Amino acid sequence: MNTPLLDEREKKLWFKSKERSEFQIKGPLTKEKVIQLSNFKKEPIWLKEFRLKGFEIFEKSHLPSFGPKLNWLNFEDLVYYSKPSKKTEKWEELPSDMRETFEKLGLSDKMKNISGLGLQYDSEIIFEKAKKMLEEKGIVYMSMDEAILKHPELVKKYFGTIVSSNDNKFSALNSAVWSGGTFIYVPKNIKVPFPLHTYFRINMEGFGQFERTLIIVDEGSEVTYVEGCTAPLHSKSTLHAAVVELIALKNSKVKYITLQNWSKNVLNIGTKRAFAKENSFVQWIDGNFGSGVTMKYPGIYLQGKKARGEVISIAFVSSNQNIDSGARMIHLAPETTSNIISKTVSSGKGVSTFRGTLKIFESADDVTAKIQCDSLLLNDSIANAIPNILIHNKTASVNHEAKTSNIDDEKLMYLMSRGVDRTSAESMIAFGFIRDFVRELPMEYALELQRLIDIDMGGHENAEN
Amino acid sequence: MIEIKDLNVFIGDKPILEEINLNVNAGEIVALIGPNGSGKTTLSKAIMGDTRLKIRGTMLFEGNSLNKLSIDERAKKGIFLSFQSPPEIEGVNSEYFLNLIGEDADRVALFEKLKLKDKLLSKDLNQGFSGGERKKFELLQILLMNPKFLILDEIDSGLDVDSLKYIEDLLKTAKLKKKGILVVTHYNRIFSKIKPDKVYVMIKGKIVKKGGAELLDQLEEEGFEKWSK
Repeated sequence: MNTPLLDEREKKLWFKSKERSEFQIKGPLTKEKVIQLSNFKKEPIWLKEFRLKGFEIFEKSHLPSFGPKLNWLNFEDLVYYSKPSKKTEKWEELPSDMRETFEKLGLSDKMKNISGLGLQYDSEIIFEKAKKMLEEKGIVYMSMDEAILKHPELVKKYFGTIVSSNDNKFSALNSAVWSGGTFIYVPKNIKVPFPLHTYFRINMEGFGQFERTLIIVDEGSEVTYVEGCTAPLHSKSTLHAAVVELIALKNSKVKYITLQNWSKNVLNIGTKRAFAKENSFVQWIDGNFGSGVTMKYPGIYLQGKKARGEVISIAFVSSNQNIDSGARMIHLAPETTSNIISKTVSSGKGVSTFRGTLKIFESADDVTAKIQCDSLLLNDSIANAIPNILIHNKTASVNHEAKTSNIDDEKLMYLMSRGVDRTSAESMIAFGFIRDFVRELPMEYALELQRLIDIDMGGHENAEN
Repeated sequence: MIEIKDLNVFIGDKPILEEINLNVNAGEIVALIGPNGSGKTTLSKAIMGDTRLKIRGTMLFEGNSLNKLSIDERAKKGIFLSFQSPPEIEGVNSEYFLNLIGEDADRVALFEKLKLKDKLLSKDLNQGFSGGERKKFELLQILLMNPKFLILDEIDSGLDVDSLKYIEDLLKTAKLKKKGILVVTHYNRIFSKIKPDKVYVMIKGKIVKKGGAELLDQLEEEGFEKWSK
């Protein structure tokens, strides 16, 4: 049922091309458009069917019944696919506040080229070098689109099995129109020698709106993956709905780090799930700074005996932001351990909500689980905590703490009495507050983050005065 | 150097200090002495600019009003408050902090002088420090920042005899360098070798007596009871 590529009439009907003659899919989304996308990408039949199934579920499903109101979102108006172009925006065309932030971050030299969706990072040489090193060890690291063609059997085995299209309306939409994202396979007993990060390939593919990432870590292996960066990203798209699937096989260790700093026009909805097999260790390390609305609850299904799961998330929320985040821990096997740490720093009139689900099944004996959610409030901001704990096994040991505090005046006074201005003192204290998160970051990110927080808190101070 | 005139301090609506008058001149060591809870620390913090306190009255530093200056502005003018209980600042590395407040000073020599262990540098500020180490770290910061006016709030508590000697040296040197020093204490151990130029006795938020070093001997014999009616 291969449909030929579009003729001019169809293009006019379905895709808005304007002066740029690139391939685009605009709403309202239809079955035909999903087929066209699959054809355009020259995909195998199974993937086309997967997309269509996703589209069917998307049409039938409802918006989430919890969290920020999304009924303003007009699916008819969205752009669902736009072929990533190599065209870059000029440095001078960027909003001035973003340019300033880049300059303050000391990144402006490296990042003078910014595309509509992603940072252009001067890393082609590093990437090629890294890729060669990885290939020698049998590690596969490429874009998802490329992996579909080059490693069909591996992809097919796991694709869509960890995050089902049925998970939520946005995972269904992602299934239908996904494009871009990362594929990683680490063979048995290999420790990936350095963190893999999106910096490496951003300038090749750009960021997508509906990315789909799949990471398979074979028995006894270890990998750290870093997605995003602390630098602010301006996006022209309203909706970003990514899906990340991660499978950690026996005795493996996976750390997935996200740093999200989208511009405030973005609605960011991520569906991230992991399967943790026997004696494996999965960590979602999730940092949220930007976006207008975020909904994200990374989940771990602890399926094998002695598997461990950890979600450490932080959010910096300021005015006009509503960050709804948290974690899901599903204990299915005995002696599994989980730890959820959520830290929120709210300033201005921002709203942050922690939504944590902990579920312990009858089959899971001797589980240890901990949930800790702390909020640090500045001014009139709002922080909510909504834990949902379901325990069906009496041998479980569960610990739950929630704490809301203001910046400690005594600490603030102490720092200021040594000549540190209020804004810097506040950001030093906030940085200390999120130390559990910082500890998990590679060094260079920790430094970038500190600078970002200084800028962030400085901005809030200026806004108040 | 510092002149406090008719100062009233409130927390919320509750009066804590009443009609305080106190002067410290350059090159003077002044003792502010009184029992625990008499308001000495509140006065120290009021001078530093604690925003939790409501102030009525006048505070002048080198002839200029302090009332509208923020804490860090007062610090930059040369006022230093050594805290009675320095708070732990999680996530702020000690070495980073010392570099921030006194980049040019010879820190290694000062560490040796104060018998401070290098391993403190890798810790967070005041976190996992012993009581004595915290106080020595306050002394270290005085030396790094080289302030004009020092408020030492119970600086000798938690310190051993050797370190006490060090404080005596510091007082002597500071006096020679024409700094103003306000020593806040409930106990006169710190003045066994160095006598203050002036003594203020504070009880229940009021200065009840002002005099010379001889007041300390009188206090030693009679205790605070005599003034606290």
